[in-house]
Amino acid sequence: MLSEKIVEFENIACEMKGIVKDFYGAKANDDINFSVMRGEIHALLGENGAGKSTLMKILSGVYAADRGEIFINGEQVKIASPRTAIDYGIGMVHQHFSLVDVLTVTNNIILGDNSRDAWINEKKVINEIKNVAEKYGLNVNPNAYVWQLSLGEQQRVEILKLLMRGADILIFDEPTSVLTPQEVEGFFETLRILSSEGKSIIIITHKLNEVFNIADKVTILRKGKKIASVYPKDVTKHDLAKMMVGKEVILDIHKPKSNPGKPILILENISVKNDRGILALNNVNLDIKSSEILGIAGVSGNGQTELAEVIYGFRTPLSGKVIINGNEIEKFSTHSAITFGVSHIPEDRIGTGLIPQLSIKNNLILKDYRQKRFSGRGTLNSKNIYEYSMNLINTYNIEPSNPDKLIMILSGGNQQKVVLAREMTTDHNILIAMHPTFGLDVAGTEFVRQKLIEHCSDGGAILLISEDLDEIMQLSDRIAIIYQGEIQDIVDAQDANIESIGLMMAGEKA
Amino acid sequence: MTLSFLIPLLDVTIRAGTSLLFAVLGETISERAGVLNLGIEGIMIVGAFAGFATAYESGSLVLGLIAAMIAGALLSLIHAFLSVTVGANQVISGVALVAFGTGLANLLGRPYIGKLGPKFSRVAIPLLNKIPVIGKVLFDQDPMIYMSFILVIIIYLFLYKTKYGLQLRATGEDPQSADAMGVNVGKVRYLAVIIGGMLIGLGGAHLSLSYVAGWQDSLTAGRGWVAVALVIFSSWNPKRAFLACLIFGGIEGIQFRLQATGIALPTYFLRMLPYISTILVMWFVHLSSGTKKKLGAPGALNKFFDRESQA
Amino acid sequence: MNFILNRKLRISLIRKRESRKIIKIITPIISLIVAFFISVGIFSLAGVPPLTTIRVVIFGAFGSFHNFSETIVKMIPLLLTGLSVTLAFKVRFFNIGAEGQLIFGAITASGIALFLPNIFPDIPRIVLLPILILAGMIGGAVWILIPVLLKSYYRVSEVITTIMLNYVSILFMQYLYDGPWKDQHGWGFPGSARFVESALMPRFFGTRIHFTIILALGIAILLYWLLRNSRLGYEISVIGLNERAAQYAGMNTKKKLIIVVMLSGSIAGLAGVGEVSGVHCRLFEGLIAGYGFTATSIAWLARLNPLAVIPVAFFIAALSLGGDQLQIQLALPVSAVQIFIGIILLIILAGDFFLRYSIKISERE
Repeated sequence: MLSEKIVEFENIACEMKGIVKDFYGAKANDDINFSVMRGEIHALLGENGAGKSTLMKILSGVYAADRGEIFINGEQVKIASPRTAIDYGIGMVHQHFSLVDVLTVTNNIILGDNSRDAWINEKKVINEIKNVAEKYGLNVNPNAYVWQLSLGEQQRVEILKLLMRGADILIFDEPTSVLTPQEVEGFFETLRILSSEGKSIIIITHKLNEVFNIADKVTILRKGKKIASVYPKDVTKHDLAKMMVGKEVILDIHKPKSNPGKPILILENISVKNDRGILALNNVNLDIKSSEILGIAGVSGNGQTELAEVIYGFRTPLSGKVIINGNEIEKFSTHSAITFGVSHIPEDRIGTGLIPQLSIKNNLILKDYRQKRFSGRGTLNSKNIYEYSMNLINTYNIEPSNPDKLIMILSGGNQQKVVLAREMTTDHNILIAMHPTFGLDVAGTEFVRQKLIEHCSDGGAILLISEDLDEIMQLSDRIAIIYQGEIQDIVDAQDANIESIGLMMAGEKA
Repeated sequence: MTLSFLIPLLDVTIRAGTSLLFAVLGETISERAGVLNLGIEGIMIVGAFAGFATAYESGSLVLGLIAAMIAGALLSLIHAFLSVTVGANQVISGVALVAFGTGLANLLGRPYIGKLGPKFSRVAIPLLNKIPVIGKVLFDQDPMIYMSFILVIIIYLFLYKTKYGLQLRATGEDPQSADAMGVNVGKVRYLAVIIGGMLIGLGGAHLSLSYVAGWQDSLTAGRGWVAVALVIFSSWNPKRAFLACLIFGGIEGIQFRLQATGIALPTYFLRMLPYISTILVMWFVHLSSGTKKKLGAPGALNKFFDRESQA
Repeated sequence: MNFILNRKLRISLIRKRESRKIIKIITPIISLIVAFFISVGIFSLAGVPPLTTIRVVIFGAFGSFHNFSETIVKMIPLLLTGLSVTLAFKVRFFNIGAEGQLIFGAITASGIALFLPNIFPDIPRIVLLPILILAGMIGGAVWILIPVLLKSYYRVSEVITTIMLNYVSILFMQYLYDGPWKDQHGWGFPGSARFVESALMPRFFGTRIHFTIILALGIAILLYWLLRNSRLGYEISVIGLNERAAQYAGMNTKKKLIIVVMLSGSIAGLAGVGEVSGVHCRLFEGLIAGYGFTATSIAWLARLNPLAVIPVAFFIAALSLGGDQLQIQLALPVSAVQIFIGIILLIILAGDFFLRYSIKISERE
């Protein structure tokens, strides 16, 4: 036991001491100590907003720490930019990949490696890519443009990029969120090869299963503070969950069995092209009944965005019908979707669902501002708007409770509550909920899921689109699996089996 | 059309297009790095003034060119600071530079109006200039025109065949990713804007030291704005920039030839040609391509980059 | 961002989410003062002693009742074009073409003023003036229609098209007063024939201050109300801040954009009516005064607040009148004022740095 400790101490690859980082007065990292050994796979566990990504962005030079020291191989270093981090052998695969879409894989790899010659020799690089790719099982076409690749393939390019510039410490931010369950296995296999070669791996996650599947050690963060560093073999899932959230949590939300009624939304043979002119949905048929949540399972980028856009009128289909409450939508515009009673929690709440520079109240009336009570005779009725907003703020516990505060100073969870409050209160027949809990902490997630379930029990029809398979399984009555714009199958959630859904998400028909 | 009509027309086409070509190349570099520099009109006119005044006072054309480049670099530096460091509105900053540059050049240029200074003369390239039509048009021109031809090739090779060109394009396309890959986004953008500004300054100098050969109030007459449109017309590609500038040089050439032939159309309408063509060209480009992506615009054009504010 | 001063102190720049109101008001004022002194410095480079510049400018603008009234006269088109640009900017339409719309509005109004009385010789002022005003506003709106249609249907940048149309409108005006509308008794004077009496705006107090000032102030107040308290104002703020969210809210963004921008053009057109019918009494070369850029800087300086446009326009008017005096007395070119406009804008933009960041000096541990 004693000898083992000494060996490990000598093999510290990287150590961070007393890291402090302040964002707008909130401590994202508060005096965090963190170290990773050579050849270790180290999980960084915490819920959204715990400070995991911030800590790793400091290590990879994206953020500058306000205070604290970093040691690489025992030597104190100052990491001022991603460039310096790269020079110290640190590489990070961000949640949003750092690849330039319009360039080829090869060009991206050249870009990521400053040691290359000024004059580009593509042939040489392509050969190198092929060699490395083969060694680690990271198959990808070097001549493809990045935008042509699936997210799983893009992740492989990211790993290739890090390896080809000789990274020794590889950091992954929520790497499995873009992968099917089967792809996850392949990815973990690659990680094991890398760690066996002495490379250190840090994997940021909030999924407990992953910790037990892959990690040698796990560090738990909560609200910017380090809670503990432990070996997974010494703890239970329950222990980790408690350390992560800070209280006893029931990890399961109970959804009462619902009694679906008549169909509210029917899609018939919908086909649609995406922005690049490629077929994004191919002959999709779906129906959603009242008191029903239909979940769409799929790896992102398989047509989910376009599906929501068609129903909401952002996009006109090439062919097919959208029928709501027995009436066919003829003109595809957001205005007509709203008149047909489509509510929508969009995937990017800041880019689409909210206007950060406007106040809470002005965001709450975004859909209903035309109504007489808010703008009779073309003039805004500030009294009614204020009362309406106060009402929603109280019902949905929105913080701060002042309707004049700007959306941009709200936390992600409260921003989502504003969207939720608006979309559930406005008159509607169907609710499209896209990634409704993305980026929220456990309390926020629970709140949103509870609201969706209540809404369903009250007779609402919900189309739930999420990359979080657990969420889909937990909330849906039926699950439709989408792959490359086609519905593979629709299954009852009760008889659903995660393996077979995973296979279908990867295009293998069950 | 006879050759005696065609050759002078093509000759004017090249000569009128050269100042545009310098400006379009300069702006292409800047925009490829993601910075929209709408100050071209102001930078060009200050370059034209600095070039002429320096050449006039020193008698040296080379010093004139250097002065034009320095003037272009200095004005662009203001824009670089505002758009790269401060994160100010790039459109407004460009407009401000135009107002400032035009006013400054006209104010300082007062004493030089109507003065005769040194100017570039034609240098025929042996043998090549003997090629029928093309030889006279392409290879019996002033040295700045040859310089612009070479720049087209150099900039093309730089952008598409070197690592630094790749870094520049990545910076304009997706600065977050470029930064994460170790590219110094701020440095690349500063350099691109400043080097672009030098080329734009040279464009102005070609007006005052060759094409118009002299100084007058508001010498550039909106050419800078035409150049902004031509960058879009050429899809941010230096090879296409050459063609785009030929077309616009041609429009100016036709305008002069028609004026010379004494056609009854009032000169005012002829002088509208470049401006109206610019609008038509912009319309045509967007009509034929539709979305911004297909247009070939750099993805992060006119977008401020701040590493720590990324989501 | 961190700068380390010495071993003990360091300066950190901290990004702010909201900036205090006082800073929002102070930065433009400080910017103006700094810009003024830089400009004076540049004029001294051109051989004008600094004190002379300041004296001439201040006397030119405020030195006598006459000069002061002329400042107000100058302020009218600046106020209107400033409001026009403000409104367009609110929907993210960078209208740099206020000069073109002003000139085109002046052209359409002049057309009416020169020819309608030929058909109806006895047309009274009370009938003719409203027609003139309407014609000018329609002229301005039509002139901006091309850029806004190109922008909303083909995504063509309005910055370039509006500027191109400035040049076109200037040439078209020159063609008119040099050709078909030439003043037969003008001895080559760059303008059309003089309007009949009934086509002229009423003036006040024996000065050249004309009726348009009342319209302009009214529009400023109306816009302020419209942007804050109306449904259209709400839509304008949503479209201007986040077009995608506006579509999401079911707004017909194209239609709204076109309407708002045409309103903007018509306000600039009205400025043109005021100039020809209130000041010059004819279509006249003097309309070419770089209003596009000046209006842009006024709107930006006023932080797109229609009420703030009033004092800013007054201030810039005082400066340009002072600038006119510089031109007359010291033989500086008209465009010298543009230097000042440019510097103000550049400094205002640099001043945003302080709105965005707060500076913290802290001791290092």
